[in-house]
Amino acid sequence: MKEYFLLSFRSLTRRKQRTALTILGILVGIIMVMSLISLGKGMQRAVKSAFEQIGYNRILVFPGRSKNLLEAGFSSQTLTEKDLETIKKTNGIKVAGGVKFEGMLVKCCGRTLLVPVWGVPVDKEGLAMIKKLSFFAIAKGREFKVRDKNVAVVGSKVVEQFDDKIDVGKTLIIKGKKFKVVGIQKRSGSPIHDGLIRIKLEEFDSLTKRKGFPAILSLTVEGTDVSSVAERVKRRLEKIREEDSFNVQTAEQLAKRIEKMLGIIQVVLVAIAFISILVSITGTVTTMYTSVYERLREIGIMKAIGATNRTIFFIFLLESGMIGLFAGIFGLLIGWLFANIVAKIISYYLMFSVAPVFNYYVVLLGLFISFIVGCGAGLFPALYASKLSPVEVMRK
Amino acid sequence: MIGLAIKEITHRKVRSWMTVIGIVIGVSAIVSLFLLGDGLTRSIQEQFSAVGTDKIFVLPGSSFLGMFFHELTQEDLETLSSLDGLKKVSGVYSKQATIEWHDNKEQVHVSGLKKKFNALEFGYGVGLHKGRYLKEDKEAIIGYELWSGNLFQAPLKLGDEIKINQKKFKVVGLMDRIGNKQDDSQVMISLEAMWELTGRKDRYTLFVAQVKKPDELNLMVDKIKKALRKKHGVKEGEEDFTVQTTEDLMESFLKVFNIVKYFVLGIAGISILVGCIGIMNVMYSSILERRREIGIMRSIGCTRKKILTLFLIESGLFGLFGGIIGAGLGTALAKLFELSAKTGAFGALKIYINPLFILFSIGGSFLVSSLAGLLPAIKATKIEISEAIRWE
Repeated sequence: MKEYFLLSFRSLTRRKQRTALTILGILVGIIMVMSLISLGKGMQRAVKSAFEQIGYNRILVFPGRSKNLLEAGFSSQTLTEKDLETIKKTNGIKVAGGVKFEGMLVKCCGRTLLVPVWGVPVDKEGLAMIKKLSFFAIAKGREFKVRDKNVAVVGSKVVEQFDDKIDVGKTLIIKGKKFKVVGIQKRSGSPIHDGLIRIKLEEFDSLTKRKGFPAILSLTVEGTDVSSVAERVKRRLEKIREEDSFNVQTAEQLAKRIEKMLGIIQVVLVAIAFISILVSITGTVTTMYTSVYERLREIGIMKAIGATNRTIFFIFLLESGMIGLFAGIFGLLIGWLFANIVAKIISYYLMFSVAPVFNYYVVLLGLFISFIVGCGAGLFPALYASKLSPVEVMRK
Repeated sequence: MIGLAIKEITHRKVRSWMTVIGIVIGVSAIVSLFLLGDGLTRSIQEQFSAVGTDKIFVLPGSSFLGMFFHELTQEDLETLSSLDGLKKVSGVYSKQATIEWHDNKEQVHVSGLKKKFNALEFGYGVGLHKGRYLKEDKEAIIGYELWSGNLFQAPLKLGDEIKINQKKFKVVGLMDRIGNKQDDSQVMISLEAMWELTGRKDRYTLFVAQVKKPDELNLMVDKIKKALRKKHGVKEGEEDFTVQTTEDLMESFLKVFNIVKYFVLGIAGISILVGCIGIMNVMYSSILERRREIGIMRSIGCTRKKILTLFLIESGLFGLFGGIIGAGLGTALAKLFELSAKTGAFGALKIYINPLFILFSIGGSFLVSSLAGLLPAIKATKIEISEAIRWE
């Protein structure tokens, strides 16, 4: 076995330039595929960890068939107080509260900007829920208190929009009414939650007439099975509402949907990148045929002194397999570098930190693909070489 | 000289075919993706140009998120109506709603419009296929997807009764096909009915205005912006609304689309690079094998320049053959996709086969692959006659 390796290796080093070019061909494809896979996995992981940070014990109810806040905002339907009461009474639900939102002109520090303003419940129960939601966490100042009047908490992106001039203690004028800023939210990475100003629900209602909630948030009791609680919520709501006029979603479903979407994008991109690998197979086949062609005499001699068809087959298959493996090793190294650079660029421009994933699964996958590409490309040339008749070959 | 180059290629058949196949794969991938992207761009442009270039659109908010949280009001509409230079100003209020017919339920876009609206005037680019416009609040006009039977198991007919958010509406008109699934699956009802349905009176999500003189388009955009800024008390650059012409809308749409298009083409383009590496490799081997031949050719009077040209043409021929087959295959693939898209989401997709592009891609493939042969060919010219003939 050791001799096979030596023989294959020696023939590769004999034609250094050709081997290098063949490896380069496979390398390029491997770099593309591996960096796309690792970046895609990194994206999925970033989404997952964002959700894990917030916790999976949330159940969200939206009107119509809306599956998220954005769709709920575009829905013609809303949820009612009665729905909220029903959700609150469901077994396994710890707290629940409805929110409302609307774009309002906000005046502060000499600027007037359109900002999404949210009305959130600030009774004892509502506060208990808000404090548990990490995308509402406070970085500076404090959270609402039940007895607060005309107060606002501002998202981190809104502070930036107002040239960093908003601070705790400042006064905002929303639709002509004064609100005192008591807290600034921590940056959560979610553009919706970072880009809002929240005020008390009653005060929101006094600014604008909006019937019903576009979304109801709720937390389940710790230790309960979230999906079965969601099922119970659904059954209860079905009794008081028309079927299909609401949608119960768990945080896990939301996360899964985003992961799935990212997965589909990744599959499409990887499939396009795989075209390069296909092309590199044709290059490797060419190299292997040339290699066989050059060594016809050698093969003849080896056979004459007792090498079997199998031996010849393995020597050539190993040769192409090694080409693939080398390409895989270098491809992974360069792909890792490349993916890290791209990740830095993405993090810089999209404000979304992504770290490419290079775990043993990705590494093994890369090596596996490249070895298979090498062996697959070498299969026919190796078969051809093994079936050569020594007499004919020697005569050439 | 070309005859000689062709002879050399067929000499090592397997190797040549493999190299050509590599180029074929790369070229067909790029050609089909390009034609697809081009076809999509054209169908988008066509849909927008059908809308007419004399229209101005006003949207709430200044970004996508703004649009989601904000709405326009009756006062805004009145502000626009009072401006000179605008022929017609109409408001639309649209939201997602559940429509129900027999046992089918779907979530679609429902738009509230004034009763005697003219679809063309609202920037849909198409008119009524059958039936009439709205006369009462309990009537609806439906999009192509609904009456063609694509969305529901059985197609809807004039006179059928559907439920929108559990309220009954009678179908009185069918819209012509616009060409994209989202616009084609909408339902139109009167503004009053829409306000009633959502409980939000005098609200709009879009204004469409037509200018009196087309050459005053940009002037009117500025006029509208100024009037609304004054009304809302906001400064320039901090608007809570967006005013766009048809061209602006198209451009912002194509901008995103083009980024995706070029990204995908770039990834596919890497395969051509890989193909070229293959050509380079084959050329090196081929020159190594034909040292003797080159030596003899040189000794009977072939100049270095001729050797260089010969090998450049030989490597270019890989690209030429690969390019011709690849362009054919790529076009066929794109056409195949067009056929399958006809019934799907992109009914308006048409693949335009531009002969100039096909020629360009074949020529490009010839050029790139002869470039790939440059280094090997230079090596061939450096072979010394005496040494080459001695070599076996």
